[in-house]
Amino acid sequence: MRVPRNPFRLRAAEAIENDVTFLKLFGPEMLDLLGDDPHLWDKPQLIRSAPGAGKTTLLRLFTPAALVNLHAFKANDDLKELYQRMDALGVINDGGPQILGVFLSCARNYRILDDLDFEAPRKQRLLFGLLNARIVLAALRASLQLRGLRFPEDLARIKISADAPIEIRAGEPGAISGIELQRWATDLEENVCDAIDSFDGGDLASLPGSDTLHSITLMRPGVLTVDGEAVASHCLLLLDDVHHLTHGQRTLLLKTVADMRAGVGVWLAERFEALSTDEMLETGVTEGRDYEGEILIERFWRESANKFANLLNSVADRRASAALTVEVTSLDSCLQASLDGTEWQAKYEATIPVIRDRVTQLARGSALFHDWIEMQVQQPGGSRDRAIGWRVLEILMHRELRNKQTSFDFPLSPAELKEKTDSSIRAAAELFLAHEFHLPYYFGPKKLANLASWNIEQFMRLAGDEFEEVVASSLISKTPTLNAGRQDSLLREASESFWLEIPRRARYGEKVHQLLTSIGRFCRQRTYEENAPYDPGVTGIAISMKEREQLQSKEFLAKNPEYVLLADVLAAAIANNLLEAQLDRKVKGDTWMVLNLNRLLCVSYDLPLQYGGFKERPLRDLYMWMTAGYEAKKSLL
Amino acid sequence: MPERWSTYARAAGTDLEALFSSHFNESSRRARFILGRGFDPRMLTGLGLLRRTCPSLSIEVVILTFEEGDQSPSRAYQPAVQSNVEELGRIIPAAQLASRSISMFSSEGRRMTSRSAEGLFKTADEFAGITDVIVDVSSLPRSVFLPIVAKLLHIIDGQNAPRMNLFVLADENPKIDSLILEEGLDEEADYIHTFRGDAERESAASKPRVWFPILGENQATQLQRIYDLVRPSEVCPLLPAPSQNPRRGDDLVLEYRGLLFDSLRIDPRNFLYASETNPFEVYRQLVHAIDHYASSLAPLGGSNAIVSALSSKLLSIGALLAAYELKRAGSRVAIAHIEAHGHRVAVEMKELSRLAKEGVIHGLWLAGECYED
Repeated sequence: MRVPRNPFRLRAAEAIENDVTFLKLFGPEMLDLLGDDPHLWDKPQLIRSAPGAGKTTLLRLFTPAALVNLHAFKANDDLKELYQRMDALGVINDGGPQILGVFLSCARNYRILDDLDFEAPRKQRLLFGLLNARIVLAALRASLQLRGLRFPEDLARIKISADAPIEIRAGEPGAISGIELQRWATDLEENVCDAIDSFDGGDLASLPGSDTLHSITLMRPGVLTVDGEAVASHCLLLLDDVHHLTHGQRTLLLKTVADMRAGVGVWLAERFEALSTDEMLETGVTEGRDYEGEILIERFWRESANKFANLLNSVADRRASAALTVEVTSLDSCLQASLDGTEWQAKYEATIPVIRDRVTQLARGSALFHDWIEMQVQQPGGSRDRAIGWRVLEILMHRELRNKQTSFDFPLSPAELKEKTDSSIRAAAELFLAHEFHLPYYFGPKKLANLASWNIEQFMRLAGDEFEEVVASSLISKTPTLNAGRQDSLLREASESFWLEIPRRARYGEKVHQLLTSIGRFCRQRTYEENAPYDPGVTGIAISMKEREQLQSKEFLAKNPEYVLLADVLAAAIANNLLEAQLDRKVKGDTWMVLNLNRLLCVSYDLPLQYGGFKERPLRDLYMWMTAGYEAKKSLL
Repeated sequence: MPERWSTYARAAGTDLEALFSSHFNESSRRARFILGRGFDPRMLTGLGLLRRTCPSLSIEVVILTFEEGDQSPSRAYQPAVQSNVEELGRIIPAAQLASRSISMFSSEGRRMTSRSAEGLFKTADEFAGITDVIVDVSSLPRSVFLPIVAKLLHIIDGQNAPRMNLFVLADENPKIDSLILEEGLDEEADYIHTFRGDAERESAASKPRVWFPILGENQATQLQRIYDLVRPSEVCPLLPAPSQNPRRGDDLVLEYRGLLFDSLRIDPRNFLYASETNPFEVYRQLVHAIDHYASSLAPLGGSNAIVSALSSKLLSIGALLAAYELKRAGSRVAIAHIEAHGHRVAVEMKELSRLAKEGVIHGLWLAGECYED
């Protein structure tokens, strides 16, 4: 493997093969997700998200290879903060790692077991048998790794305590050391896999299985010892990719783990796509579930926006510092963050006469806006501020003119103008200006963070595109900074490419694309109304909670089968974080499920990145949008 | 390691016609021709050629049908499918036509194409009296033809001499391939049934994984998703060279530069090269490389090889041959693959039919008489 030229491109945790590099690139702020639950190490914990939110990265941090290296390099400046936070969590201390993390991916051949022509109990026994064998193998390997020993050479140094569960030795009654246990687990796995993978179907019927996940009890403190000492004070089973199991297997696994109450930490990470349409539309509702306090990654960050911003800053700086071809310590320092520089002043200055003429036209024959215009003419400040001021004035005049039936032709006072000019209308004016005069809008670290839509991988992708230019600038000896215009272009290209990926990315991809395109067009039309009624703009839609319940109701769907597809399409969009769902939003005396567009999708429709602007739509409209598309009813600005 | 296909028989275009003419008209033969039911205008090219060159040959046709689902974009091309089926009826009498169905999804909606395809033919008894089996992969997805060809090889290898002949036909037309786009990719990649190798075994987890993707155009998402499944330690992409377009290999490197060099950080020395029209060369390159990695990494317990065919159907056969032979030799090689919910044609069907005439049909003789001692 070569030295990373652009570390932002090392997106997946699995792609970073060096554990120290992995640790250096890990943002300690990610640990905020775990909160301060004292039972983290002895209870089941569900972690869910769309793809790319960082589940595997988080799990990998607790594996022996990562912990051993964290301990070895604790004095390294890049790792100090992470070490301290892991110390505070009780994962590590001066004596070394205190947790044995046993990582196991469920992206294996378990699903095939459900397709076999057996009775359900037989399939279940095979599933548990295979899981037990793999958990045992992973636990043995992790135990030796944590102690710096070699696998499989040092297996004899692992002993199983006398009070170990009898069940785990069912296949190997005499198992007392790691060697026997490994032999038993390897044989079981080989037999099942060979049978599954054979051209003749193999003899799966005669293979042994298990009644439950006995192997978890092997991970109780003190059961596994190395050279006579407990491997660690706590064991943590890290089951990744649980969404790869069939629905039935996944339900069985979650229930079994919850019911076992084994006193062992079992973390189960899965993508939202594992959830049924019904469950997906429930997104975020946890009451009454076996797993209280499940971690929904995107939702957590949405509710802790500052923490997410800190995480992104930390991750970006770590990645930027890791680039060896360019001397940059922070991505922020490479990104132009405002348009107050001289290169933009002339462009803004050129917009003022155009808007002023329109404003004058609009006010002709009426004294209503005389004082407002006069006040704007007198406004001091730079070109950008004044241009925004004029555009605010134009929007406000449109609003007043819509209400002119009710107002007299007395001049509106400057104080009223001041009062009506809030940050939202200024944001709308800035957006309108950028759109109308082709000025950059999507630039700067803050907007880059917004465009991540609470997803680390999405952020890496965008930051990677920008950092690529920084690296290129450095190669040709130019200052490694990216001006606002170039950032805007790069982010627009990324948005276009994101849209193009939707048909391939999501289930029901074509329909998801059609629905989202319709939502985008609708939001754009509403955003660019001349009086900016939803300032700064509309970036989502909402369906009533009642209608959402209808999408989950079997009776309703039986009577209205066309909505089955709509429910599936909405669920697929939410599962892939293309729509960000928020439940129980109270507006206009009713409660709503708000579906905001992923912020990166907003770019292609020149939409703002703030949240809050949404329009309520009935289900029948969404169905039409998904099947026939939405066309704007009148021309835009 | 001795290579089963170190010498091989393949022919294309008029050479293939000559091969068929001399092989099938020489003595009394009975052929079973397997093809897929689809909208691709190349669906009947192979059968038409065989009928034309060998008018008196007894041919049974097995047409494979597969349902891609209600939401599949392929459903838009139903008239083209119907037209192909009508044309088939004109080439082969209904009495010599049999249909077999492949389940793409289980009752729970799980993808099970390769498993279903592998189970289509079970024993040699089903081929009693058949001297030649011809599989035309031109209108079959990889997840269907890879397990079928592997199963046929397995059945033939279990026969006593004289064994059946197995031919694979592929109407190669890069222009058409670039215009038929995969839509609605599965969320996750998977391994082709019976080729799961060591990739999923925890007992082999410490063996370094070496991934051999055969690169083709417009496969970035597929490549990324297969990578997510495989999570390799080492990546050895195979590029088409020599190729009709001498820059094709460079263009592919350019297309995937971000993924290959920035995300996966592969060493340029890892690239493998094989002719874009010769799957036996792909086979040879893969067998050598896999063997080489296995011996080099033996001190670490060996290597865990995974191949993925993201290029033409013809080259995919090369990947299959390598995996099949190594599997028979006791080395477990996996084939990682991702499927789509359907296909979309980027031009009008008429244009596609016009372009279909520009293709070249390739024939590979994989088993049978020419390999007998």
